[in-house]
Amino acid sequence: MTEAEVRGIAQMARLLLDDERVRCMQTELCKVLGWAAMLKEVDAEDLGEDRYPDRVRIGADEPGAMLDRAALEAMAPATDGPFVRVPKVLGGGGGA
Amino acid sequence: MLSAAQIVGGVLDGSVRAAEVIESALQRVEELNPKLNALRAVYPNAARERAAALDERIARGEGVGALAGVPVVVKDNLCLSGDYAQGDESPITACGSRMLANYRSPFSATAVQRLLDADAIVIGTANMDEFGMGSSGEHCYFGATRNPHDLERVPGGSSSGCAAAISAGMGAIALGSDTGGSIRQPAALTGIVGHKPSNGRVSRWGLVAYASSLDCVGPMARTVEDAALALDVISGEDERDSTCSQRTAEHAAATLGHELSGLRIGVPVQARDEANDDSVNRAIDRTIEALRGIGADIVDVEFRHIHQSIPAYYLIAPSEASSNLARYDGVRYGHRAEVQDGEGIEALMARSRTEGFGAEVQRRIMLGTHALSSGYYDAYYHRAAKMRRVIKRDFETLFASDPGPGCHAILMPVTTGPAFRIGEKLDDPGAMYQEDLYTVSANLAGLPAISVPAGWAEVDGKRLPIGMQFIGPAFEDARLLRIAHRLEGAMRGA
Repeated sequence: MTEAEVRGIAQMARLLLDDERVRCMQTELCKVLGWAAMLKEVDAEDLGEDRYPDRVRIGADEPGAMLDRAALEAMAPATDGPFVRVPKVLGGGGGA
Repeated sequence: MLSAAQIVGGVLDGSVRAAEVIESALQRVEELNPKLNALRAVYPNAARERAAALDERIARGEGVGALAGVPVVVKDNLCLSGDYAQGDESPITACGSRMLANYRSPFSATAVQRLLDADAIVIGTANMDEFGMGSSGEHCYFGATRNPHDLERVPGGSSSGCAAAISAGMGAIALGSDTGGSIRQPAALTGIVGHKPSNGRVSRWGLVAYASSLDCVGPMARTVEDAALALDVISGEDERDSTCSQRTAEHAAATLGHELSGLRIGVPVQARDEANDDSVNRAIDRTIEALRGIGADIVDVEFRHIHQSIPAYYLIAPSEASSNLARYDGVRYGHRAEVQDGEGIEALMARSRTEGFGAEVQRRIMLGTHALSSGYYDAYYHRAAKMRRVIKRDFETLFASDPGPGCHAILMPVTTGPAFRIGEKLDDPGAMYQEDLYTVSANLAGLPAISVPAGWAEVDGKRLPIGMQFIGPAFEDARLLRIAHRLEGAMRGA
């Protein structure tokens, strides 16, 4: 995994990494991803991917109880009337 | 600190008042928490008020719940309603993270509410590794938790504060969570009992998600009986969690003393891994001897893919975490960074997440993001998901009879050694991940697993606890607890 790839992952993950952190992350990720080679040693072709959960209760398509709006507004870092206040979406997303 | 069973019995027969029990617990907290950092928040006024109200109800002859007067602590990733602690600072559900250091939940988790409905008294919120990601108790924004048996050592994680609090007698029961061993491992390292229920046995409503297909809420206590009491209270159907089973589970506490004839316990040859400290291998021998003493048949078995469980877990869990933690973006709640002039919302999100998450959380988000990304999904996540199916099949083979060894439970260590020193493994995440060798397979397969104290290691003049675990078939939690209870009795007599 190259440093450029690490920076690409960080962008997808919405994390800011400085140069030193990129280098550390490169080493750490490579070590863990290297373990994936152990999975290739096992023949699992006859098995499907495990899907969890294998049981899900489907509820009626009806509106249920909502969380208290006042409580949700109180949690928001910044509000403007009934809205959550955020910086502008700039151009292609305003890049970090 | 009395056991929960003793407290409930004493409160009901009038030999002890709930107020006395709670006062005793709060005194322990005041004395020991500064050294252990087990509890991030304590609710003394709410606890005293509830205890007094409970005593009044009992005096009036009113019925009370199954955990009446029992002091409990809840892990910091289990929502506790902001309304709970009138007279104390309103509870925050922080998940050990700066990201949620100011988050007040508008509701309590189902499991927590069920404890409260059973008249348990929540005295505090326990510290944890951030968002459940850690095996030591060191990855916490609010500081590391220490092991009551040796303050220079870790209590394990991620339910670090829960384990330390119960081991030190600050409470009788803790509610933790286990995604890859986070109840069992700290229980083993602090000498208490920790039960990871079958997936779907306990509602996850109100448990802040780490890896949804692996997360379980479960009890931690000093005795198996107390763990069983708590499990019975928190288990059962919940319409707010669509993955919670509607299946009626066998009552665990009431059946603890039931017969266990013809018990077959499988011990994988892989349980004596070369990484094991001698103390763990001796604990295996001691446990086998105790099991034979209670009439169990011990069967050598193969758990062929135990080593593949680590890469499978560390691809699946971070992948799910990267999705679950995407919601923390500084927009609607949680930590929001200062916006700099000219920056837009993307910068706000990235800056908030980078400031809000610790290093371990960032590492796992990066791992998961990569494992799920285009071009890598098949090589990593898809392959890990298939390995999960292989591991499930390994267990099914061990539990099956005719053909098969027909094991009622599998015995394995919980850890490869006793508690390690604080800071010892912080610089080597890979070494930390390998600590989960014996625990993650039960999560991958969705099976119940319980850690029980099984002896001691003598290290640097200190006695450090060692735990053993039993893993059972899905929804056989009650029988697993029965086995653990029988072993507990046998080990106490040994």
